[in-house]
Amino acid sequence: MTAAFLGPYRDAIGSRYDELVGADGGPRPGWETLALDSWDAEAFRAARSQAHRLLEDDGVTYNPLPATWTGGGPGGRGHTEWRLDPLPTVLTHDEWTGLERGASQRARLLEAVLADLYGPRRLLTSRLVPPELLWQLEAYLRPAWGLPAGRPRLVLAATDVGRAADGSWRVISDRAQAPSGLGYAMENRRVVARLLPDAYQSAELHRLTAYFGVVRDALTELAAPGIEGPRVVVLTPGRHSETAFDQAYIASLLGFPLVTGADLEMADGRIWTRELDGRRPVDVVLRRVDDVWCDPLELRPDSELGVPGFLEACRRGSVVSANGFGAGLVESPAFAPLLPALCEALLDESLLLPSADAWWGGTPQGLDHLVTHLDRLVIRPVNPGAERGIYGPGLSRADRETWRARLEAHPERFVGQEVLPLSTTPTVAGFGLGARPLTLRLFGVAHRSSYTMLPGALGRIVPDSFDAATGRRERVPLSKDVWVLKAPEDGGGFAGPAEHIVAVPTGVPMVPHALENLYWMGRYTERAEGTTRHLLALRRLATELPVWYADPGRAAVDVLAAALTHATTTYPGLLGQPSLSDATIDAELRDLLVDETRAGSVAQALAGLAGATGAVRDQLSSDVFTVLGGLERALTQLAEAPRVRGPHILDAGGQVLSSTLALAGITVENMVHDVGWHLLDIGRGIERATQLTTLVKWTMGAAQPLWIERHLVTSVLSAAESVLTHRRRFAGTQGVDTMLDLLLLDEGNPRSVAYQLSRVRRDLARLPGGPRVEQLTARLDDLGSLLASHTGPQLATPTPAEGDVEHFHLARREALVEMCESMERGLAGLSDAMAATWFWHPVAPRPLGPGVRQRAAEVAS
Amino acid sequence: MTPRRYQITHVTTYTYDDDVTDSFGLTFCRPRDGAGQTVVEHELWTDPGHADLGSHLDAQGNHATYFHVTEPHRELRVGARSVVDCLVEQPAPERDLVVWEDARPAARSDLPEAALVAEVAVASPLVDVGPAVRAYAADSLLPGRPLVDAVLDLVHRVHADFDYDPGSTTVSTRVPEVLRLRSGVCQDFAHLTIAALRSHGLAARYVSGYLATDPPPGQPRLVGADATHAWVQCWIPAHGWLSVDPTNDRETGDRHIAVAWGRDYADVPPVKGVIFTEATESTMSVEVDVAPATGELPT
Repeated sequence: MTAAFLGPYRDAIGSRYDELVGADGGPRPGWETLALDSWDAEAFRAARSQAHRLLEDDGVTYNPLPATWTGGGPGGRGHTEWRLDPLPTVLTHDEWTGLERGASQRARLLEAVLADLYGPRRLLTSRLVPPELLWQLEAYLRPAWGLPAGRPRLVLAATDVGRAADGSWRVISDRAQAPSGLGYAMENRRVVARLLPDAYQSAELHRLTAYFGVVRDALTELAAPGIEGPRVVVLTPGRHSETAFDQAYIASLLGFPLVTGADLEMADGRIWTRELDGRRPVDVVLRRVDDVWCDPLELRPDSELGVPGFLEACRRGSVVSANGFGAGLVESPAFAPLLPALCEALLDESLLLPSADAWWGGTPQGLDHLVTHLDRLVIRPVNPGAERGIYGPGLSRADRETWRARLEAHPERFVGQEVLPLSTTPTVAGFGLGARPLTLRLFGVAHRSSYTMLPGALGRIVPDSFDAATGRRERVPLSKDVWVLKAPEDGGGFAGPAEHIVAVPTGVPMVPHALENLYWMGRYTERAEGTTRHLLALRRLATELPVWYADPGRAAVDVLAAALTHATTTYPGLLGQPSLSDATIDAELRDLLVDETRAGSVAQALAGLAGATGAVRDQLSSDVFTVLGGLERALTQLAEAPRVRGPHILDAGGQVLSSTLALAGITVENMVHDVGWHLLDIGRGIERATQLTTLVKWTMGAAQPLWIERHLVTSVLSAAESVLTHRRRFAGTQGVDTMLDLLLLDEGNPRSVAYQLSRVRRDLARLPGGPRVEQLTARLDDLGSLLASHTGPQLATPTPAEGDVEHFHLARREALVEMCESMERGLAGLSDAMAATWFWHPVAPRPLGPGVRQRAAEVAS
Repeated sequence: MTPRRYQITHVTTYTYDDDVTDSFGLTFCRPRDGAGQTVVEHELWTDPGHADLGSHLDAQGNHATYFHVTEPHRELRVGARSVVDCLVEQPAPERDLVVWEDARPAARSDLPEAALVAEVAVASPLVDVGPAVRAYAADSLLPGRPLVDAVLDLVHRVHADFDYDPGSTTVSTRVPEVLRLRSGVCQDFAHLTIAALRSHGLAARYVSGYLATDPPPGQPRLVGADATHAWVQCWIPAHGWLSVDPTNDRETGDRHIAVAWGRDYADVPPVKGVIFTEATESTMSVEVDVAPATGELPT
């Protein structure tokens, strides 16, 4: 590494310990693997935007917000992108060995603490854990007492660490409830491996993928003995959860189905997945829902995320929860000061990886320390869910006094923890590298009586800015890949294969949430495509008939535009504006493409699509996300263009179409044609039929003079992607009757309504049957009969009857409109009936018994 | 001594204006064994019948029973039938065992069990421990007073100062509100007494149970018969628990049948559950009968 490179970076270091630059001013061992001296400012910047792009391609999100609109089906995107610095931080073998041993011991210790406090409670009677501390901890879950022994409560453990001033690692906090981040760590590695292929190939670093095999084994082996091929599921709070990506990605990495609480039920003493063709038993639940939300019967009664009876099933040993109920107890910062003594007592070992120095306010000395050193402590509540803590160094004098008073009033509720100085690590910033403070999240899994650590970590850059009022930092911190180098003797030249994700077939579950999202994935794809075709047809027609031609046919543009507004319900849209100008049209079409807050827009359909695909990530090929990522970029480009004109619209619309076609191709070619696939295809069929019907109704419902209708027929055929078929079938004619025949009634045209009905019918026949499915088929038959009772010419005939030549062009096609409206109602009814058949969410569980007014009878007298 | 035998029937009825497809329940209806009580028979039934039933001991050694009803219903009855033998007279603790200050778990690090009973010496979900209740209790917890005297005096004052009025409070009424209203039902009096004791560092737990319906000849009928009842136990170091009934201003005796105890009502409700239904209206009623039982004593 050249001095020229290191110089400016060295000057930027504000910490006492830097990961890259050692005490002698030269680079530390291991970093040569990144060949940083071959980089220039431009390369850093390029790597950063490339990282962003790759994350977008993989659809990596963090902290999604609830949908801001209420459309059909599960909706909303509004996600925040996950952020990753392109440069990994490097840990040598020696450094790592210490961390690994320390973190693994710490997990063993926390497990031993849990086993005691939910069992014999010797730590209490011996007063190693002060009773007045334990008995105020809300995370001490009394219903978790008496669960079968012999299984760890802490299955997946995570530990956040940072460096103290002397460079040693200290623990900032422990995660024991339902640790997140393992999926992000893997994704970070995949992205960095693509960003730095040369360094990655030549580095002697530990790969991460094998670790997921260990986790898979560890979870599988938790199942009750004697079960052949135990079934593990990943329980998620849903796609609006903060770490929904992490949950779905973990599920796909492990090859376990992702389910919500509503997909599970307790019956006959065990937990089952509720599936289309019945139910299948569950042996192990990897729980990403906090324990108090998991069972409304015994824990929070207002939870809709859990399964009534879950605890009872655990108690009987028919299902195992990982992590176990009650494990969140040891997340309380109150344990930090106790751990050295607990480690001696329980493991007969010295604590290898201690916490940052901490004091509990519940002793006189502890309180004294908190009050005296408030300006250099993080004050954390012993019950993290109950109240907020505070970052002492950021406090104003007045706030400090308020906090002193608060601490003195309830000293037992708080722990003061030394603020770690943290090390810095090179991070792409501005025009080069900045030195930024680093923390690591380490992961361990209980496997065969010890903890196996991920040979890597989720690195996080702590932002400089810190909101002193809330003690919170930026919402989406920048993350880091962490390279753990192998021991020189393990190396031996060959670096091992690239990170290769072994996709394990999940035995796709037919649970309601998965089916529902696949169905809506089909509908949103088709909706985006249909709307885009319509708006492209409009844009092309406007180009074909420029205003300055003064062609009376130009009125067709107005009809097509009004139809677009009606069909998408994006009122007022292009209604009520005689003789639309191209500029007005372009502005509206741009909005329909990019404005995701506008109900009915293409952008909104795509947002719904992104949400639905993210929720069934475990069932989809990663190509899906690449397609969506590319689309996102195209629309962002359009949104950011200073002035949008026709060609921009045509370009962006073209991108949408090639993406939806690519998605159709991926789903046809790359997905197993199982139940989920048929649901997706049904979604496409129903949406396409709806789109066509609506398009025809709004464009052809009113008869127009021939010179207008001629253009409309062509545009509608083009919006329905049936121009060529029409030309082949009805050479030379441009009649409304032949067009209606082709688009509505012709079962041979894959773009017709009739075809969609038979397509849905074919899909239905492949699904597990039953009386409710028969009712669906009957509904389809009714719609088929509706079509069969009409002909193209009859539908094309306007009323009043022929002969009234004078008002001919003002007449409406009543039969057509009526049929289209019946079809729309029928399709909507069919969709609702399907939802009721397959996606049924049980009504939310409610507490037994009446409201509070009946209390006199309910409660003891 | 000859035990007194009781047969207890406790039926809770829920009605709904629409079908309930699933009812999950957790009950604390089986009386405890020990401390002068022996459970001779116990049965928990539901109507419609349960598809699944399970029972376990909770952290306090209470018997909890889980049930799952899968037959659609508009009325659910949950019934418990128990036959319990109670010893006629339990020895009352001596009055001057210990001064109350020495009965606080925090003052008894010499006793390992003090660390465990400390669980009921702090606030709990339904028992707030604040300055008002602390001040109220201070008049009974005079310095150096024997614990038993102090507790009985407190119970006497609660009985004298508060009206028994089933309409005055709801299930969500908290201790400070009861203090202000000066009325309530047995659950409120129990929570109030517990809060008073805890506010001075004493360990006190909530006991859910039954009272014999008919008094023995010549004795008054007690308030709270024909329903589930609640009272309080206060820890006496190295001795056990002093069991007092603030609603009736007395130590508990052979007419009190203890079912379950915990930090407060929320730990041991007789029946709680979760249902799946579209129903919007529901009612609930409880019938309890505690009758002297005839029949052979077990040999």
